[in-house]
Amino acid sequence: MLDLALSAIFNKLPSEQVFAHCDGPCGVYDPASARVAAEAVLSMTKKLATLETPQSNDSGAWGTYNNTFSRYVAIKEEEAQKTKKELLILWTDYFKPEHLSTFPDLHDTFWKAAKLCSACKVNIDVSKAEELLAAVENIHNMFWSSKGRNDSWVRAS
Amino acid sequence: MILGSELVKFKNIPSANFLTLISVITLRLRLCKVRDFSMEPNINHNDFLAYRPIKRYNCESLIGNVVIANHPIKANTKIVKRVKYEAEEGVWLLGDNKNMSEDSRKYGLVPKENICGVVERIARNTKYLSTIFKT
Repeated sequence: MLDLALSAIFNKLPSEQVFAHCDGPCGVYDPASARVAAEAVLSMTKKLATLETPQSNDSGAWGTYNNTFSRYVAIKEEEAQKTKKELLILWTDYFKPEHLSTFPDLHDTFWKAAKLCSACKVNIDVSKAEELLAAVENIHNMFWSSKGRNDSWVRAS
Repeated sequence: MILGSELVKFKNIPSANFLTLISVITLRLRLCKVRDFSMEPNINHNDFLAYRPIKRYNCESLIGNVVIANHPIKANTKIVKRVKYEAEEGVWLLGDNKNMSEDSRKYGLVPKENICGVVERIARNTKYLSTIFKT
């Protein structure tokens, strides 16, 4: 009770801020790494969706097809995992409890974006990959507005 | 043995009272507000600390005390940490929440002239805690 009363008074008094730092040593966060990975997921998904199977039974053509298909899938898988990892770093390390007052849907946004990463791994679905990129764009906007900046969303592809 | 010596070197911060308020108003103690979590569970995010400024850190041992110091690398940033030991070249500062703390394990000994003060009182911001539990 006394603590509460004193805190209320202290809140009115001028006080300096001291840091009990718990971040990684660099403190450098940027949603750009998630964006690049999500763009790669979209690109690979599009390539997979348009990849045509060989018309003949030529084993060489099938060999090439299988090789290309496997590579596209492997890269899609890897980049989707990378997107998820980068998003989780932003969610768990960068964003702090006080951000919840500005972004009440913060947890839901990240949770759904992480789910989309998994959906992109499970399926070859261009719409899911586009949804993922849109989710990353939303997180990009949240991130920069939390820093009081308005960095524009620029895509590499 | 090790646990015992750790306990001896660990000084608890007494709670603030109205005398603390008077000390803050009369500028004997300085007021600061904590950000982040590296001193949990002893000091939480948004707690208020009242610290006694020290001009020259030479004549007293602060081992086990919580101190306010200028960050050795980042300019214009004050940190709150506990003094683990003192050496000629500086002091070794650690966060109580060792798994989540950026401290001397990252930046080494902190020069004694960086130490701004010793924390004497704490006012827990229970209002803030209750908002966390609600969310």
